[in-house]
Amino acid sequence: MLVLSRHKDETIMIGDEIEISIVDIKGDTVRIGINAPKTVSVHRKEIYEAIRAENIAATKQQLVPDKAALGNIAALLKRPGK
Amino acid sequence: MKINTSRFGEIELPDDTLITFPKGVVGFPEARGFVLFDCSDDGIFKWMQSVDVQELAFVICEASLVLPNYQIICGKSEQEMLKLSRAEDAAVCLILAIGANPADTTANLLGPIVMNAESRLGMQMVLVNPDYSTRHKIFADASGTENSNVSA
Repeated sequence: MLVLSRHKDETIMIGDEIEISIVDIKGDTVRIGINAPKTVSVHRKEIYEAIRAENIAATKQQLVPDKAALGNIAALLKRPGK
Repeated sequence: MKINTSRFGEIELPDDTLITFPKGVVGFPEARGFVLFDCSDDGIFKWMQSVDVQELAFVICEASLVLPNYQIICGKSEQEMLKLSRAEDAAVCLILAIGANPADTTANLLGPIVMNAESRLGMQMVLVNPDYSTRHKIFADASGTENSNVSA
């Protein structure tokens, strides 16, 4: 991994189109500004990882739920007052 | 269109049921085509089966059934990717994890599936919302307390 030191308000370029700026530094928190083309998606890694893990769990867990069970779930979801 | 699946064997569906996910879903970038078909007689739950990865299938349902005021903000890049021009063309669904006990069913509120009924393009969004979780118990608020006022 390339490691660079940057001060507040300094920027890193990745290729021609992606700019990463250090907006603020407070204690152990760094605020980072990102300028990237709309086609590049930027996510906090922990959220991305959580969704990936949940996708894998959801598809592993599901055999074929029986219709009676799904009927029960549907009935609960439609319960008035929800 | 014939599709091989690990759960249902070989299934045949009309070509126009295919929904294209240009970026796949999170963790499965290779899964670019999905078909939807009913998994309960009432049509509330649907299987979202990958045509590329046999064993990849999710049970989904409309997000508003889980949380009536569930809302997402579809940014410009998402609108472009889905070729979405009218909000009413967007279907917002949640992936459910149904375990041995259906009462423990959870919904992934942070990774909704958004599809454009018109262009038949879809994507899984990655939301940033501290009120939402990837394992939201869908019956936790049956008592009427938790999450009754959540909005995005």
